[in-house]
Amino acid sequence: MSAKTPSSSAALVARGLCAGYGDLPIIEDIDLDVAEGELVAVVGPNGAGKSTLLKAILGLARVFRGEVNVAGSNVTRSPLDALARRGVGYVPQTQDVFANLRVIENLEIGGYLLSPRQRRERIEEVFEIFPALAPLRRRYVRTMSGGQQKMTAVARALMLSPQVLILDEPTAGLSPDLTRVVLEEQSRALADTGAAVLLVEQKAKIALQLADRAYVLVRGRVAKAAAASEILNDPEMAEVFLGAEGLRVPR
Amino acid sequence: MNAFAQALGFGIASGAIITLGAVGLTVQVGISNVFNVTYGALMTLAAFIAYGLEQRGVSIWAAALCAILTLGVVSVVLNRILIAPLKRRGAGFVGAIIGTVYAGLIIQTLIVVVAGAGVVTYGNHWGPTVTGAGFTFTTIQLGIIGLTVACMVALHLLLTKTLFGRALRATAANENLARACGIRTRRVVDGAWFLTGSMCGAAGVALALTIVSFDFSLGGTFLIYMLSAAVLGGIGQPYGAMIGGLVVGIASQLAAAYSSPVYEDVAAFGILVVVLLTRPRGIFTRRGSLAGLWET
Amino acid sequence: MQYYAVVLLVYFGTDLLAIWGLNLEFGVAGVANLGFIVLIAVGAYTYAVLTLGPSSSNGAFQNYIIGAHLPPAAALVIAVAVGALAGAVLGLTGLRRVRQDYQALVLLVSAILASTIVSASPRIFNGDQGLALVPPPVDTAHPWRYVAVVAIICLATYPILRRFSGGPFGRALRAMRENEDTAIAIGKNVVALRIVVQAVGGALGSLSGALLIGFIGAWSPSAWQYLETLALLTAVIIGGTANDGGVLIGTALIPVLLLQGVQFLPSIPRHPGLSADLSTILFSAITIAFLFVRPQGLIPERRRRYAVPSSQEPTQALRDFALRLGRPEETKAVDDRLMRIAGLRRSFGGVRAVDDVSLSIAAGLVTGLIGPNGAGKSTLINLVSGTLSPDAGSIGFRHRDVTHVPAFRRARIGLVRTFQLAHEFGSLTTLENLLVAAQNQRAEGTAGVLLGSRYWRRQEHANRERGMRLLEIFGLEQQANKRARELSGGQKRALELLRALMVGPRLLLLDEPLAGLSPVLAERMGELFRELARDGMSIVLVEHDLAAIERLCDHVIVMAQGRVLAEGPMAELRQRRDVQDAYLVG
Repeated sequence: MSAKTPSSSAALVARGLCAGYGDLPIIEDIDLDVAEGELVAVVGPNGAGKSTLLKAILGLARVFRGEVNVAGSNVTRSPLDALARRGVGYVPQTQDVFANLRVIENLEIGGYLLSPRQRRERIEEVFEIFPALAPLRRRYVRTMSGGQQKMTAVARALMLSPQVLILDEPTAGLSPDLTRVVLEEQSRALADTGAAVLLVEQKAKIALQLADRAYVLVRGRVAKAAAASEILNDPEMAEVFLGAEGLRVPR
Repeated sequence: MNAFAQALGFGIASGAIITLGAVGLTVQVGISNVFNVTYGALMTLAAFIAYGLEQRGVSIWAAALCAILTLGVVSVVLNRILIAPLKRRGAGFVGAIIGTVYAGLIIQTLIVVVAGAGVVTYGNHWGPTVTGAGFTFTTIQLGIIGLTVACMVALHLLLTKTLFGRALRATAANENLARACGIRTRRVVDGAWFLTGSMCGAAGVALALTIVSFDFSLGGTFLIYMLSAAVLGGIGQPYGAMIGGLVVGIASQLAAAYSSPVYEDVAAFGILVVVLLTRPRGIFTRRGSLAGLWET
Repeated sequence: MQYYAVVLLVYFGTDLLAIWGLNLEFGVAGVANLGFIVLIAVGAYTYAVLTLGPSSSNGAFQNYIIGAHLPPAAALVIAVAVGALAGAVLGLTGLRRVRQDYQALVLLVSAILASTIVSASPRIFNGDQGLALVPPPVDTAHPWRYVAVVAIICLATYPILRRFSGGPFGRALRAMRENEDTAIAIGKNVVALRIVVQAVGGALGSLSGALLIGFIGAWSPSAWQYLETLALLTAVIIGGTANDGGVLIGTALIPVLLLQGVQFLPSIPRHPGLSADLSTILFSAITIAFLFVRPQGLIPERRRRYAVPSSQEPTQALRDFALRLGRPEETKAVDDRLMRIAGLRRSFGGVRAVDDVSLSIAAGLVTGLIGPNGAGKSTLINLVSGTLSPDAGSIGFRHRDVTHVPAFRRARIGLVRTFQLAHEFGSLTTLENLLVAAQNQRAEGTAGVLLGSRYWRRQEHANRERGMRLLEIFGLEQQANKRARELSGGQKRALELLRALMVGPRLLLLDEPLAGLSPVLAERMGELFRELARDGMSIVLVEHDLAAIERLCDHVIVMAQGRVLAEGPMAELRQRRDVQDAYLVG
């Protein structure tokens, strides 16, 4: 977990990003880099705009200003399927698998863009990355546990051998112990693939323990960008995560 | 002539038309999650287009093909300018269905403006009757049954063996996720609407060929049958609609044969109400597996 | 010219009655009755066959049933009653919960069917030809008398309408429209409410039809087609759903001007009826435009504001008053096994989500329910609250078997749940969200609707006081008159809990109430739970935050793969090998 400095040929770059919904910008002036093989976390209190940032990169929210580049090419406002074709993988927070299909069918759809032979080979490769999934290949995904479903979701995204992988709260809804296991397993697996990984997490502490670098988002802006360990040990950051959200809290 | 066998024969023949329409309708609901009530008026449109072309000397078969393809295009346009935007705007399910109801009224009224409100008649294309095994069919009825069977087989092959079919099933299951896999869902959705729109057109022309004389209300009243069949089989389940079409067709013809013709409609509606009150998700949908249309 | 004015005014009056009915059903209660026209036809035909003499007496010129030759006033009253009955019958299509558009479609189709049947049955209402020579209620030599009759009936009907669309009854309807699940969770019998609404709507539609046929003297299926229903619906959509004033504008514009008024334009020789067709296309296009741009109509629904008393730090006495379960006669809970569950099972498509679960919940305790994802916790909550029905097993609550008791009734006897994602009634104000949750409201019963506000005013005032005190717990009193959808996420979650408290629960089922809350707010909520438990309430808490569970819960139940794995204090459970394994393996 070294503090790498972002290079100009980073896999994913956002500059001056200002985005939101309708006429309302939620995030402003965001600069962000993720290099190959890096795991970058975006953390921050509720409503800070973490999800919006992801959606802006993925073309799912309205981008008012700014630019998003993947491996040097401008992909700002590209639709999701175009991004997938450019090697950007996405695992949404919910509805992240085809629940009524089998694991192997999920992977087959994940490899939609590949030729049949490439698809078969890649499926075996993905099963090597997630060995726990291999014996489950003919299981219907809806019958599996939350952790196993998430694993399937990430495996599906890996079918395209993405250069950039974006994960939206991968541990949402998982119990704390499972969270640790899932995140650890995933970050190890993803590090092996060499992809640039960007993840948004509510559970800041564990995300910071596993990430290389992190951005702290507060009220739509970057409050701090540094090595994850630095942020983890910063006493000021603890304050950032508290807030009464417009409610009086009497003693 | 055994009355039962005759009714059964009519039932199979009308069941074929119902199936053709119902499968298209149910797939549209499956991919867009909206009941497209315009479907009835679109069937009527196809019948009138074929009629208009025939009046101008085109052979009925070419006219029918033209009408079918036109309906495919019209349906794609309908989704693009009305249904998809309404959904995006958050009009809700009720808002979307109301939108399609009014669109149906507009189309129906346009037909009246252009072709008048009176009854029109195709030339007689029934062809010679064919008898066998106690059944009697006109050639056109056999043709329609054959067409329906061919369409269903083609649909099955499309869904299971082709890349488009796989993309369509993924899109119907989870559009966002399908896009994340690189599937061009917009094109897939357009393709699906073109296919189902063509089926709608085919059903309209087939119906008109069978009853020969019709007016602007053709598709509107037929909606009951297709809806019944689609709901019986399970909304969004094309294979369910195939069976549903046959059941509704036979049931309604038997009801008409054994009491009065008006019971044809009543039987179809009766099936709809019974399904609604006892097992709203239809025969083929498992509990909890297709979210959204009904509560368990 | 004078004749035109009379015609338009009569149509305005009768259409207004019908549109009030449709607005009550669709605008206020959210029931999209696309087959509303049937009810107007019911009124017209009923009035006709009651006022006409026996059909044989006119030499079989027209065929119809009955022919009672009753005086018009009597026929009118009977027609209204028949309309109410017909509306209720239509309401039965909502007996099983299905998605609203599905139900709307069935109603649309039933109207088409009714029209087809009448056309095809010449002996009932003279089929396609329709009925003619229907005796008018007022001497036709003075058409303005007819206008007066219609006007008087409208004026008399309005206050009755307001009894249903306004006040606490209307509030319950609006809540049902906003979020049916939540309405059930606070004890509203939505099926009964819908049937009542459709009966009232049916009565109004019927009245409209009866008055109309009295004026025109004739009625046939061509008068009640697709087109006519949609004209009425457009008036509701354009005029502003749920706004009685806006509806007046909508009525004037669409059915009157566009539909009827157009018929007075000179017709184009080669295209008879072209202007009517063009106006149809016009209003259809306008309606679609409204659906896109302004679905709430020209004049949106009013907010109901209440005076906000000056805020004060709530004293202990006031807080007790607010928190007291709304059942002053019951203080501490007596039994220690408040809820017993035995052998509960539920599967989805072959997967056992809840597999033979048996447990009991004690009164006056905070019980935690934990387990990995897919363990069945949410399904169990849904089974206990009644949202889902079990495949096997039983649920006992307060010594009653509630296994087959519908969800809304469980809420009424004190088994109350909250939802994981805040399920507020968005267009109701914050205070109204609480008011609608109060139990045994006199205003919502038959007596309350009939007797009016004098009957329920005092109770409503008391409920308002209690609601405000509850809001003060979280400092929401300044937001009392704001629409609930405008609150922040945390505020909505707080409201979710307060609404459950307003019901006066004995057992609170909380589905992840702390998830996503700021730590300070989460801590405050946790303290509230412990206070409530000290007062005798039972709380079942589904949560993932194990530290919070340890802090707040006296007893913890661990589920895994649909079964109960272990029970006991959290500290003990942490040590157990099987619990650890369940969480790690998932």
